[in-house]
Amino acid sequence: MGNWRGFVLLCGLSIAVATGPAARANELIVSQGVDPIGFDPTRFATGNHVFLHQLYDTLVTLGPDGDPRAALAESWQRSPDGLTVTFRLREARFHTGRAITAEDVVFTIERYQTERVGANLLPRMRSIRQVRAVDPRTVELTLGDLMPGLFDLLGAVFIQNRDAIDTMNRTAAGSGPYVLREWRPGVQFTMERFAQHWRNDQTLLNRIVVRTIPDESAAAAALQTGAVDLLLTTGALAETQLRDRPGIRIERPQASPRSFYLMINTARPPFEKLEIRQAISRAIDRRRIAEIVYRKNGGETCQPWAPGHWAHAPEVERACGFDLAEARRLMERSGIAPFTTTVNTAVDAYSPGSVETAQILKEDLAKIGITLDIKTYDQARARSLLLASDFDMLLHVYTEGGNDPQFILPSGIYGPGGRAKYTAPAYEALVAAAGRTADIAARKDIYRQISLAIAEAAFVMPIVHEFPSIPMKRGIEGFRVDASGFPVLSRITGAR
Amino acid sequence: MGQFALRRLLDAIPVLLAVSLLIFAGLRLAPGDPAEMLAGPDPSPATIAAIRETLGLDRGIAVQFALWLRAAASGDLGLSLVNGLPVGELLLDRMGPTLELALAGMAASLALGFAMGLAAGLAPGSATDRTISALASLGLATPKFWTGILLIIVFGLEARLFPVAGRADYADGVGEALRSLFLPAMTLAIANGPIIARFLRNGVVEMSRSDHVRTAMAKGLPRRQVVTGYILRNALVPVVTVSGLILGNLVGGTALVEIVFSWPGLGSLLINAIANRDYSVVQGVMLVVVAGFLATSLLVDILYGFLDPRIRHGRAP
Repeated sequence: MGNWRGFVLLCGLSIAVATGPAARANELIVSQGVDPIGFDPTRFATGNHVFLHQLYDTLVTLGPDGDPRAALAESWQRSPDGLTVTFRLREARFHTGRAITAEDVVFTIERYQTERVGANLLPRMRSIRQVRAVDPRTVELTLGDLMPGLFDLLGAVFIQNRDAIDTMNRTAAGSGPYVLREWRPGVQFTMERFAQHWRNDQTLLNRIVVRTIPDESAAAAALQTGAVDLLLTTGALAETQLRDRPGIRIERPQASPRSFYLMINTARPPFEKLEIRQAISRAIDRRRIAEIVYRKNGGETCQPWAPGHWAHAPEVERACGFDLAEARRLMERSGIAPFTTTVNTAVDAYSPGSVETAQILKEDLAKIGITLDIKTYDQARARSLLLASDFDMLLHVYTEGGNDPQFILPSGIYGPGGRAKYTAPAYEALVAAAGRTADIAARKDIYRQISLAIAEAAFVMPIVHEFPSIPMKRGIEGFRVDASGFPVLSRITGAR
Repeated sequence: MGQFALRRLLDAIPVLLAVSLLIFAGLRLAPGDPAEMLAGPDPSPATIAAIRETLGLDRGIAVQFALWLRAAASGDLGLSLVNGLPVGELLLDRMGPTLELALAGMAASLALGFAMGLAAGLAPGSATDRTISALASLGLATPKFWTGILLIIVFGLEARLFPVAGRADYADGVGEALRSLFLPAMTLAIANGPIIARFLRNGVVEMSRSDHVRTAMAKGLPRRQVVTGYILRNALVPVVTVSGLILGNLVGGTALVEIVFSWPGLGSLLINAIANRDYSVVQGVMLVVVAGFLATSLLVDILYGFLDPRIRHGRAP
């Protein structure tokens, strides 16, 4: 009897050991519509998002509450004047096996500040005046101003191995929870668990395969047949195809919206007239655009930040709602006769839904005497026109709506003297004030005033905040994105 | 024949040079700037200028072309402006799948076209001929991407007979690789087979009415021998011409099919490179595509010689 009990106990223990506290999932296969453009983490091309948090680490990450959490930096201190921040690095290694040192952080930050690298974060990195290695595990940043959004920024600065830069485009140069094992351009790339990662015990997947499937219908079909487990990029067609399908569920992470807006070039007549711009803002039926173009995946809006963002102020939404009568009154008050103007749109790969939105806009503006000609451009041409402010009106999108407001305030979109060529002393003062305080309550109030000023000046009109759909196999859990919209895949369960 | 082929190869050099120059100039004169595409969402003019300098785009077009030509002459097609990978390597990676799909598509088109064309041509005016004609029109009129999506839905999604996307490597199993090739090849066959069928059908009908065929029939030769030896061989000349054009087109012109089936070929590489203004890659792909057309044209001309002895011996047909 005793032997029998002992045998059963041994079997039970064996099973427990084999499965562990949570059975480790093995492989996840995801699909996206475009290939990565190499593995340089300074580039935020759509095809690159999927590998950033998997192949690389940052000094800090942001929690759901927006507060910084330790990552490669295990602790930090800020000087009393707030202009010096010192980070203490944890012991960690790159995929090559070499230990991460403060010099690698210095190298990385300086690389993000190099013009010819063309890093996406370059404009925001300029506020870091100096970075130095105090010792092999201590890094000191000297800031030009308080940089209230510093930790949000550092959450998107991926630390690179300075010895592997020359081959980084092909083989990556990171320290993240996964190592790049194979890349077949145009086909797929594979990432495998990095067993020496400092947080390896929390990495649940052993292997991630990212397949490039450009056609969204084919991607939806691949999900339905089980060829892939999750679609990172999807459009209206695929979403319709997959909705209510057995075995499929659609998640909509609320962390990082796509924010669609209309921008007006205030340097071109008659848009220098405030009444004209306000009339346009009042004439746009944002709800109809949200329902028809963005399939109720988001909500109409008047302000740069979506509901759920700490800077979102509900009262601002009343500042620019659809009011045709008011729009007509404003047009009359402007003294401008009915006129014709153009709106620039672009292909869906660059400006999703802009063409359809323009068609609704055309109907809306016709009611107040504005005839709209719609011009559609390919990605490269649209970008050239945007950067040169060569447009009357422009429909476009930004994806920084989940980040700290300082990501988009001193920028070409909302910044004074930006692409819309708008500025006003009061607005400039508000934007400057936003950069001078780190107190969250004070910041909230300043951004509320900024949102009201944007709605009032109507040089940029936010229209819809949309949270992209992520279709996946039923049973998959743990998918999340950070504030910048970059996926974090290491904690996914339910994979094959 | 050898001298003929050598002469044609030498003739190809100025053609490639002229095409390269046209594409080079056209790309740089077209709106859109690769430096802007690489510069992040909010670049300053200084950032864009620095990137342009890194990419060598700050030099004059003539200087850029001269440098490119010198490198290309030694086999170096430069680096992708977008991902920094050698263009030659990118082309080699995509060449295999492109040729695989082109040859499979051609074979399937020929098989389908021959079956349809011969059946219709040997029974002109019949119900068979009219049915095949209608099916051919349907195949020609239907956009390739639509046909592809339909095949994916029916045979991939509903019947689960074939994979719906992607190309399987032969290293992972010949069976899987052929399965992944089937639907894209059939898509091309449905689009191109009818073209071959029409040419063949007309050729067969015309040859069937010719004096030498009537003589052969009158002499009591078996029908099969008359069809294969007298009708078909002569009807093939225009079919070879159009097949050469189709093959040349398949090498560089199947971008839509590649995108629908996620097939990693030259077509989808070209589309992405154009969208991103990746000058180096566009230049390299177009060079390969044009060279492919010229090679196919040479092959067709050589095949003429085998089919028609009059051509081989330099006499007018």
